[in-house]
Amino acid sequence: MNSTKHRNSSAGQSREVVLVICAVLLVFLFFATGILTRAFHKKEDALAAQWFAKGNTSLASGAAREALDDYRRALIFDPENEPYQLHLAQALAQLGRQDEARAYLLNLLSDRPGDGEVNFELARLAAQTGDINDAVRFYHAAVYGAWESDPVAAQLRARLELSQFLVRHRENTLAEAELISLAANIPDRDAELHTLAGDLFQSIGDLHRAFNEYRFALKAAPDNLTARVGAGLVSFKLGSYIKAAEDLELANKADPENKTVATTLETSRLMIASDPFSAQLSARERANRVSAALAHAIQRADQCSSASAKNPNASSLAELAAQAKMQQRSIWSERGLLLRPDQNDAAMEMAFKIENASTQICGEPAGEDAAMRLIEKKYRAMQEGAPE
Amino acid sequence: MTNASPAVPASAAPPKDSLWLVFNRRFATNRRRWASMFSEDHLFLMLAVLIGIFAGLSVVLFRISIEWIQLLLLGPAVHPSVARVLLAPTIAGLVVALLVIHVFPRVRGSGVNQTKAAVYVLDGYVPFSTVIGKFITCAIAIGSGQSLGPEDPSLQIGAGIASRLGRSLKLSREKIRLIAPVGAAAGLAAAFNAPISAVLFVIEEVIGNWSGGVLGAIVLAAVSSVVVMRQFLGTNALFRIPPFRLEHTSELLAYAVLGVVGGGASVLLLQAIAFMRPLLRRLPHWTEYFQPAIAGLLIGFIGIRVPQVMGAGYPIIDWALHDQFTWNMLLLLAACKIVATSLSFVSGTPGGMFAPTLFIGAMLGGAVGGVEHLFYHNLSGSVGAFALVGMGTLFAGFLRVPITSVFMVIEVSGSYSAILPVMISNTIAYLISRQFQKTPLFDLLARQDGMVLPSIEEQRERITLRVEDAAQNRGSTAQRPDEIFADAMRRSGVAAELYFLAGGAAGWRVHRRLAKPADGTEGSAAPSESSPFLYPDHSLEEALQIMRDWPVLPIISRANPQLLEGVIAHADILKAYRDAGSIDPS
Repeated sequence: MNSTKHRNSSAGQSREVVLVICAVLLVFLFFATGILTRAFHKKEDALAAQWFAKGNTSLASGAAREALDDYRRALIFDPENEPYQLHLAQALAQLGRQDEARAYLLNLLSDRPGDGEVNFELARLAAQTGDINDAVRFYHAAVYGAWESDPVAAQLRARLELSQFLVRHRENTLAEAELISLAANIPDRDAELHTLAGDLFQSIGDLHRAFNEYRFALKAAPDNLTARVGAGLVSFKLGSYIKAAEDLELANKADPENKTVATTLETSRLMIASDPFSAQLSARERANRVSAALAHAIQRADQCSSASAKNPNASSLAELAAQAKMQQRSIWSERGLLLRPDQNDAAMEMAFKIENASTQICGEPAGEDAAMRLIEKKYRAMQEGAPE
Repeated sequence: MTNASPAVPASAAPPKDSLWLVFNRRFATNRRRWASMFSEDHLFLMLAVLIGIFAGLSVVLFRISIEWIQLLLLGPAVHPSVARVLLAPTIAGLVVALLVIHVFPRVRGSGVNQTKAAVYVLDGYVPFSTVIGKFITCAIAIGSGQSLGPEDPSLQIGAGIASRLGRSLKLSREKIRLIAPVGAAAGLAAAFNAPISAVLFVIEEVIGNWSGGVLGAIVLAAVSSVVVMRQFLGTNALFRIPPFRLEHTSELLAYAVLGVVGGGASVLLLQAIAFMRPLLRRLPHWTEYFQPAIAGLLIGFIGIRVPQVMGAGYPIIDWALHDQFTWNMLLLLAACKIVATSLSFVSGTPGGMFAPTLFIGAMLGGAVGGVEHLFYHNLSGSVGAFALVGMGTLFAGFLRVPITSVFMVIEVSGSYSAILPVMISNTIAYLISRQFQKTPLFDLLARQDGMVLPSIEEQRERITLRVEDAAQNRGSTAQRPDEIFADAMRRSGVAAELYFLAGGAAGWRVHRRLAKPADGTEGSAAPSESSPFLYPDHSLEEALQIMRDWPVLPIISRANPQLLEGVIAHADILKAYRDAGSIDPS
């Protein structure tokens, strides 16, 4: 009995000793493990930063493939680092490996659903694959998301890209709404962004807003040639030939090689010089312009019908020109028109008719004839009640 | 010391004991109090927490050692130089072979089987030298690029620590036998950062049943080890899982295909090990010095073109989960990993098969998903999703732990959304693997090592015989209760006059007369003791325990105790066992 008691007691004592030793060992192991893990994590962090920096250098030098390996290595040492993951996704996207990039980004998105940059990258991927719904969704999330640095500029960039994407995909209604929001937030001094907005408005046919954006851009940077050309061309399309000529003249001086500018400038000048429907013309000047227009149309008809004698419509064109010539000698002469201004419209109608017939036989006109087509367009618009 | 002493003033206090004596006395008193408060069961639970903490710390150190050795030997680059790729696993293989043959001969073989051996054969004994040996040799092997994983060694490190602590604390034999699985669960949980999977694995593969006595301790150990591991290595899951989508139920068919492929791959890998391991073991003893080195060299050659197969490969699994490879690259990685893992494992290099299994499964899953995407563009599951399901599929097919495999995927993905695909794919892979490779991996390895350990899979599938299977004329309405009783007594071969059957409010009982009935008295009037009873659904094992020295027992209905379902005799139970056929003890 006594010996059993003694055995139990000694077992109990040895248990206590073991537990005390365990406690001491645990404390020691905790410290040792703590020191080792800290040292190891420090080493890992250093290696990760080193590989990340190397990746950035590779990416900057255009070596996306090497950058990819570097970022991956950085992520092995610091797998949860979100900037590393984002850069890896960007490198993947640059290499055209969109599915892989998307997988990384979606993973990041699940952790940071409101992150502007992640949404922006996802939107770009969706835009590359032409997925309009996803692109719009992610671009919007990027616009309204959180950005770490310079959120205003980043949000404008996101909206600009969204607008460009929508314009490319001819989603003009959606694009216009985005562009209006974009234009409202562009800082006054950002001529480049105003110009881009102007270009986009012009692409979707919103010429007035386009013109305003170019004007804003020129206000901020009067030497901005793109804005100047844009303003000139938009003014021309709007029928504001004087404004167009002013801008295009400046643009032509800055870049005489630009043929579009030169041609449009010439047409604008012709319009200004020959448009009989311009306001504030004297009766004599108007009669003079109508008479000149008719003479020019008859001359084109003569040239066209003789050059295309085999064309079955050439004879009817010649007949039309002959009729006009007869009238030109009587009531549609410059003097006749001055005496009877009510014949101006009839004479111009004949000139338009001849020009259209000539165009059908001899193709699109240039120079003064092109101006005649524009004058007709303006005339029809006026007839329909549009302001001059 | 007397009161009469003139040197002592009358008002002075009696002499005090020394401080040490007081402390000793109080300590002894408190110890007795604590001892009376804590039974061995309490100590066992407390010990489970301690084991968990030790195992967690060890696994943290083990993982850091592997990473550090890998940095030292293979360098930090994604594509290490050819010299490193060839020399590191070869030289490490030689070092590991020397250590295994001369210093740590017990580290060979599977940690799971050694833990099972501790439970079933060695009374819970896992030598502590195995813990040190596994730590060193596996860290060198895996760090040098051998295609093995750290989970199985972690499991064994945990089991070894538990065994050492249990022996030091002089636990009873019953507790010591159970302590190795507790440590194993802690080690595995810390290695996987997945406590549920670790607990299930140990129950499913090591213990084989949900014993209440050990379950609490296993859970406590697993949880405490994971807490410790997360304290040092962070709370992040082993893998970052991409969002999982399943838009249409018909897509489950795509995962069923993965199950078929995964099952096939499992059989391939199992048969490669079953064929190659004994072949290499039959080679002369001196070749064991070179087998890990040659395996390392061959893996190095693979690693020149496909460095991703070297080591445990967790980052590569993560890349596959994030669609970072094309389907043909994934297929190549799976094939190369099967070859590399087979080489590493059969060469006797210490290390585990869990990580390679996950690797092959992820690559194969991704490849299947990639191919299916070529044909069905509308599949909502990404390649990464297939890789995730693939991990579980091979786990089920190769390691043959179907429940763990399902929970493992859920636990590492942190989402239940993949549950249906995982269950379908895993079940198919498991069934295919079982059909074409009868012996599961761990049983196969144990038999190759000359050990006969209980096969948990066979135990799981063994049919339990019940009382209703053994009862004669059960539920017969043609016979009266006394006729049924008389029949049973006849079968039992015991003299019937000492026993009689009687029904009462509490149900039917057999009674044993304590004295011979006087002439002319009814049986029930004599003093007697009444028997216990059985229900039809009692297992025959339970029935035998309940019967003890009773030759027959009444079977009564659970719904109505007054309803006699039959009477069973010892002989009926033996006949039922005989009819069920014999079980191969191996």
